[in-house]
Amino acid sequence: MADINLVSESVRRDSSSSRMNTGIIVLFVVFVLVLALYGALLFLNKTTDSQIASNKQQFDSEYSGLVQGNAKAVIDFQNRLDFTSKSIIQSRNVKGDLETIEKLMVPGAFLNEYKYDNTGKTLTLNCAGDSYNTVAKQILSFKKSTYFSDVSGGQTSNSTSGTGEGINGQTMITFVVTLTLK
Amino acid sequence: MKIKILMPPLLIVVTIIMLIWFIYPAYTNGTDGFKEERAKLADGQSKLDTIKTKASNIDLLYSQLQTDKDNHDVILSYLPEEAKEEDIINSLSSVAGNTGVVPMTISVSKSTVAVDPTSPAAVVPDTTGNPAGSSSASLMEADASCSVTGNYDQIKSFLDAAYRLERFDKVVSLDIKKSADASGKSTGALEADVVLAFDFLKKSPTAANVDDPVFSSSSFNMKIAQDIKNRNNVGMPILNVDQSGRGNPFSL
Repeated sequence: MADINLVSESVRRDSSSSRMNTGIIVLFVVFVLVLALYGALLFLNKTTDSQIASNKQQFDSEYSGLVQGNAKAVIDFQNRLDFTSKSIIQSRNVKGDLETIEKLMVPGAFLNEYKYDNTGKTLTLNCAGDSYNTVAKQILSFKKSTYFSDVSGGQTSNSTSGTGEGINGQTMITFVVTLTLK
Repeated sequence: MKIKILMPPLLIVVTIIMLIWFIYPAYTNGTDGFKEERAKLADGQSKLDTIKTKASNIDLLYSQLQTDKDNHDVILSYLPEEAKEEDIINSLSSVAGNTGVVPMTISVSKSTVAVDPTSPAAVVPDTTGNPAGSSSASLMEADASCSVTGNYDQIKSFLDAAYRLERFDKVVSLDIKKSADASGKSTGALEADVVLAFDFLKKSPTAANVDDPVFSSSSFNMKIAQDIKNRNNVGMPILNVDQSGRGNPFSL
């Protein structure tokens, strides 16, 4: 059966024209939207620029206020706290060292001189003992203590004590011991 | 009719050109596009917020200094701004008197250099690396040489009291030996030569560095002041000049 075109030519042309019109309108709307988007971007850029400038101005104002005045006093005090915290840990009560030496002295030995040097954290003790056995015991007593990281000594010499302690005139053996504090 | 036919492709081409040549560069171009500007704004806002927080913290910290006078004074007394040689002499004299030792000499030499720079306690470093405003500060010290005589317990008490002074000091060197008279005979007493370093910290003349970590906190940790109070119970005597003025300064 032959196809029979029931739609007239004019109706077909109208329909095609209508679709074209709709397409043009849609494209135009898209074009306008694109233009609007571009305009919006330019506007927002400008607004953002002014906000950045405003923020920078506020920042500069706050910054100049900060670096002077109260901030200096705050930093100064914090520095004092920092130094104090460190120094209080480092500080040493030499009374503790003396009391340790007291406990470690053996009978028959005594101190002639006690020297402390903070740089090397060392104690140099000039001691005297009534016999070589006492000298050896005294050195061992220091070595057995955990209060010191190093004990060195051993050089001895004879001397006549004139320093009291109830042993006047007696020949004493003097010796020097160097103790390194922990 | 011809315009109608040309319009759609023309609009498509112009729209694509707009998108490629104008809109995308306006959105992002690596320097001042909308995206970059928003990032800059966010960064600036963040910096502004940070500095406002710091400003607020500084106000709080400063007000803490004003209100917590007790702890503030403890720290300032422990580590003063000046050497205060007169206070050192007066304190050592007072400590000697209280512990029974006889002070033979007390002399103070003011040091203008930092304490052993290798010491970790000597310098608080400026960790921010900001050359304009450095918060670094150097610790100074005034060395006090003191020679006293007394018995063993008195010297021990003297050293302990010096350690417990409200002002920080450390024993640099100590020499205790038996005291001898002119003929070289022992007097039975002991003689102690001690060098004490009294630290002080001058106020920094440079402007504050806003990147200093102290501004990140809204309060000082005053625990150390309490530690000092617990440890140091020998007060620094207050020195006053009661009377002054004499016609002949060479007469007593």
